[in-house]
This record gives sequence, structure tokens and C-alpha cells, in this order.
Amino acid sequence: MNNLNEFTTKENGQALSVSEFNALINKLVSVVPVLVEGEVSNYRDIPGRNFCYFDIKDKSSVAKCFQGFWQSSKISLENGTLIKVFGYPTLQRNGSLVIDVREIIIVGEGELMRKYLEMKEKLKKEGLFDERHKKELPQFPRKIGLIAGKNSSAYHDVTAEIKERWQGADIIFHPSKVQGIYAKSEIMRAIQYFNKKKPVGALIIARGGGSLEDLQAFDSEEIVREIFASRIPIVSAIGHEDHWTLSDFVADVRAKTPTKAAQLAVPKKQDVSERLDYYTRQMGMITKHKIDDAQSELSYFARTSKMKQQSKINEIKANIDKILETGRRSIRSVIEMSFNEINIFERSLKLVHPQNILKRGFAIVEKKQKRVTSIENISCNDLVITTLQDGYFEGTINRKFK
Amino acid sequence: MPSEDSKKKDFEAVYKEIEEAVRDIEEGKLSLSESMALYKVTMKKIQLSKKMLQNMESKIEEISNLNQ
Repeated sequence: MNNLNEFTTKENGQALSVSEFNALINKLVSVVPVLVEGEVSNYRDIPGRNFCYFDIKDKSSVAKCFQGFWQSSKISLENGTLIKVFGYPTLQRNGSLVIDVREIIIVGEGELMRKYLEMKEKLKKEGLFDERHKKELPQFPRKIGLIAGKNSSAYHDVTAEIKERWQGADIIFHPSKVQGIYAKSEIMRAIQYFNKKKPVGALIIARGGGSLEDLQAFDSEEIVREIFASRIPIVSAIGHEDHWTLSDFVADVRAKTPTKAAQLAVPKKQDVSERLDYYTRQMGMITKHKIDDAQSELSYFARTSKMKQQSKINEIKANIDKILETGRRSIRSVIEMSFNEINIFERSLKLVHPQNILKRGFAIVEKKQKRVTSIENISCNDLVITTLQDGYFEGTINRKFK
Repeated sequence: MPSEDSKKKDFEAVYKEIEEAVRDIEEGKLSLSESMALYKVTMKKIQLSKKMLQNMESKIEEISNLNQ
């Protein structure tokens, strides 16, 4: 036996209990925080518990990891993902040495993010995202193209919303993979298909969010350029609120969700119907005002001496007849009421016509072909002509009174 | 189906005509009889487009890869 002093024992020289051993090791190793890179394998969480276990490995070795979800709940791990873990080595009671993980960085995602930002900058500099290139969506598209995953929730959301809002558009659905290695070529082919063979008013590309990796196809330069080149305006509903894909940036309109995309692409039937009601009211009101104006104008004419001319009266009467004729046939009760007013007015107009005034027993007195309207204008012995409704007589003034 | 197509095209065309007529009437440059005549035809168009709204029906067509 070697010198016992070289070994750690209890103070009294007795052997350590296993728990004491574990505690001792933990004390030693936990002062060495580590950053370790490896591939996730053997990931398992235990239902109902707030922690999970997984291994990270390289070609020849494995390290066990333990993570409480509360420390990094945002990241969901999958086997095969390359990650870096920050943590403290810990010897567990069962004798396993694990890394007590405090933070995880997904190495692949960091790389994806770097590429994404580089590509975004490049395309932005080229002007592909410029507002001036954005095409306007048609007001009443007759056909809407839809590119989405077959049986995906995006497909269901878009079609349900279009059918709910506006039944005036047919939906041409082009199913496409929206993630994985075939996604890029299928989406590009679908965009080309609509542009070359199936013209639609607007094209919706939709998928329901996902991780940066899931959305990778939509960040590819080829798809961005294909969307840019599309002659059909494109509404995108791809990324999520805090992550726009490059396709979202280049699309003519970007929607937060597939349902929102449908709302942007077609009008709401009820809104259109209400607009038509508004037009009806607006036209009725303006036309009524116009009639009111015409009436006041007529009254004004009647009050002024212009009304002496028979021709003017005839002209106005003809106008009234025309208005009455059109009006009776075209406009409803509100406007017809105005015509009744015109009729009443027309009658009063007849009353003020000079001929009618004479009929009521009044006379016109003229001296030297000028109308006499004041006693001041005549003197004794003046010759005057007095016109009645059916003739006139001459006379000389004998006496005048005032 | 061309008949379906022309029906839908008509809605947009009719709606645009209505918008234009209302704009013309609002501008107030028309004479009374002109506005009233325009009012009359536009009311007919509004009734027509409302009927069109009621009768709309959208279909879903799926492109299979064979179609391409």
C-alpha cells in the first residue's frame, strides 16, 4: 500500500463516502467552465420534467450534457445539429460526468445567419428590394395563384380566407415543397409556371413560419431573383414577424400570415357592397342639390325683370319640362318631391307673367313708348296709351294727384 | 371557361364605370339634365353589380406536376 497521506480521506483518515467523493470532484471540476463544440446525439427529454439530456460527440468521443429548459427554452435541439455548449462539468450522483449546460449556440444557424445577412446586403445594394419595383395588386383579381405545401395549414388558411371574403376569384393552387432540398427548384418552377402558362392577377407564396434552417430555400438568391423577375405581383407570407426571409423583402407585398396574404390579395365582398351603397347615396344627394340649385335660380329669374321676355320664360319652361320628363322616369321619391316644388313654382311663374297680370284687371300706362311707373313722370295734357289684356286706348291727362 | 371569365371581367369594368360616374357627378361640371341621365344609368349599373356580387362563386384548381 502506498503512503496513505497521498490520498484524500476524511479528516480522521477514514474513507470518503461516495457522496463525499462526488461532492469533492464537483468542487474541483466546477471551477473549470468549458466551451465545447460537438454534434448533438441521443437527445431525450423527460415528459413532465423541466430538463433534458443529450450527448455531444465528435469522431471519437462523447460527452454527456444536461440542460434545464429554463436556461435556454428557445432552442429546440435535434440530433445531428452542430452546437457549442457553455457549461460546468458536474459529476452526477449516478457517477456520470456531464456538462451542466448554461447556454447553447447552434453553429450551423450562426453560419446560416451570416450568409443570410451577406446576401441581404448584396441584393439590397443591387436595388432588388427598392419600393419603386413593387408592383401594385389588382383591385378585383379574377384568379389568384397559390404556391404552398400540399395540405399545409398555409394552403388551408389562404383558400378559406379567399372563399370567405371574395367569391369572385378562382384559386389556382400549385403545390410545392417549401422546405428541404427540393424546395428551391420546386418553388422556382411554380413561379415560372404561373408567369409562362397560367396568368393570374396575383400570386401568393405562403408557408407557416419555421426555423432559419427550415426557411433556407426562401433566402436563396435564385428564388429572390425569380420573384423579382415575376411579371405577376407576388404577396409573400413566409417568415414570421421577427424574421423576414429574403423572399419577403423582394415580394411586392409582404404579409405577416397566410390569412393576411389572402386579405391583401382580394377585397371583402361586404366592403365593396357598402361602397356601392355609399355611391348610391352620394349620387342621390348631389343630384338633389343640383335640382335645388336650379330651383333657386329659377326663382331668382322670376324675381328680376329678365322675366319680361316671353322667350326666356319659354326656355325655362322647356327646361322644366325636360327635367320633369327625365326626373319622373329616373329618380325616386326624394327627387320627385323637388319636382312637385318645381310644378308649384311653375304655376306661380305663370301668375307673374305680364299677360296674366293684365288678365287680372291691371293695366300698363305708356307715354312716348316708355312705361309710366311714377306720377312724377306725367304732367297735365300728356298723351298716354293704356294697355289692357285685349287692347289699348289713348287719352290725355286732365288732372293728377299724389 | 370563357363565360365565367367575361362575367368576372364585367364586374371590374362595371365597378370602374360606376366610380367614374360618381366622380363626374361629384365634380359638378355636368348640367342638370346630364347629371340626371348619368344618375339613371349608374343606378342601373349599381344594381347590376350588386347582383353580380351575390352570384359569385370561386373554384379551386390544383396544378398537378403532370399538367406542366
